[in-house]
Amino acid sequence: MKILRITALWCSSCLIMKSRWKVVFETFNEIELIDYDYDQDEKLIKQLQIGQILPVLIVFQNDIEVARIIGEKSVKELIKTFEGLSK
Amino acid sequence: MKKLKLLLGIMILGLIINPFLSKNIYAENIVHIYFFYDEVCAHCAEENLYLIGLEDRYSNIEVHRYEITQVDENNLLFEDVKTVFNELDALTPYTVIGGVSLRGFNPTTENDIVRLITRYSSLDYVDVVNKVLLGEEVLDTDFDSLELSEVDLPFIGPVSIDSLSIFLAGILMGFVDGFNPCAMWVLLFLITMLINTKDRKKMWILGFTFLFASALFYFLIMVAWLNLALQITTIVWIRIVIGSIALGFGGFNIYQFIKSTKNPDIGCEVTDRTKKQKLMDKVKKIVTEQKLFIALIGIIFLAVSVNVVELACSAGLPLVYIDILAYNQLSMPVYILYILLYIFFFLLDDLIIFSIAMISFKVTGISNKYSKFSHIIGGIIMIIIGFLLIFFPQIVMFNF
Repeated sequence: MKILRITALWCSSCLIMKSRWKVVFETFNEIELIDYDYDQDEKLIKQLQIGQILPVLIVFQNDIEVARIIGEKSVKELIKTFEGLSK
Repeated sequence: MKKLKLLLGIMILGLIINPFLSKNIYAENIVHIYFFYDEVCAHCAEENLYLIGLEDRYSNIEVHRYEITQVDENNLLFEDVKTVFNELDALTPYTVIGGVSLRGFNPTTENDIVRLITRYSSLDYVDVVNKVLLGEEVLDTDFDSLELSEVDLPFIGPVSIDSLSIFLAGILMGFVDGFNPCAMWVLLFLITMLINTKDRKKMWILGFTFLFASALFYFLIMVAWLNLALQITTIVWIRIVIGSIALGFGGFNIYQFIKSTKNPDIGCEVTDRTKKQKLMDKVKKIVTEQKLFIALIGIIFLAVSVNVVELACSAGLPLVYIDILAYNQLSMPVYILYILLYIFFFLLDDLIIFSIAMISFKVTGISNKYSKFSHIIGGIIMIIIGFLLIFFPQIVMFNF
């Protein structure tokens, strides 16, 4: 599973989510995480059409986008989503 | 941007026209002040001078002077009025405004007179002395009171409801205003950049200066507005206009909240990329500046520009809070203390984030769901205050 994680240095929701992602990513192995910064990777972000809310996780399986997780989510919500994707 | 310009315009206008307004106050209600005095009494002479000053300041007051030792008629009226107020032992100076009698003259009397002028300028009242003059019956309900209701707080003791209400309003409104997310991102970005420098001293100095300059700017704007508000509180239509503005801002805040509920995703909104980028470049330049003095000047300018945006985003909360203060006719040091209280709670979330970063070298965020709720809480507060200002101003004046 490959995850593109889009955050920004100024975004408080991104900071809030850091610790929650850590918990989830430790639970699910085999995750390849690629980080992008909203301000520094402007061109790529434009192509991804992420909308108006940060942070964004774009989940790929076999190079096909299977999910987008937008904004603040609880650990429980994240685990539920990833469990669904792992099946 | 238009909203911002309008707000700044009002503030600047407040500072500029303040000196010219002080002699031009008028309201719809004429407030009659009955002053019983004795020509040889020193306190009477003091009060007379004070009343002359008030006549100059308020164009809607009429002072009726009764010298009781030289004119028998005046003395008879004095006795009648004292009887009505059940204060037969009262001496001069003796002042009656509406349904309230004031014995003697001291700084407290000065405050009481101003409070009563403010109260009766915009509210209907019964002129008890006029009733006595006309030979009409004075009813129990005609009397008014300056006495304050008190509540007994644990550890603190008795506190007047007036001051407690303003105190709680300051805490609540400042706190809600502080959760406005418009400028929080700059602080987070600044702290992140400062942490990257790994220079704790620089982090302290620049971070503290940013917060202090923000507080100072907000303070100056609020004092400027207070200067204007103090001059216009007695004008009835101004009260209604301010009430309507509060209703408008409140409605807008609630609309923002409803709009945000349509989007289930709570997070940071990405708007105005170019402006954001410019501010971020400024922050980077300040943080990497080698000369501390130049960095300090830069950070002060940054704080001011950020708080201009913050002020426009606050949807009138500080403006309405200042109006509440102005309607309560307090002394200047007390005004300042209440403004500082508001600013402290306004900056509390920033102070917490900064302190955690200082101690742990880690940036902490505050969930955007709180800013979402600040819209609805702020909106409800504004609507309640707007409604009270228009229909029940005595409650905003905390005259229970």
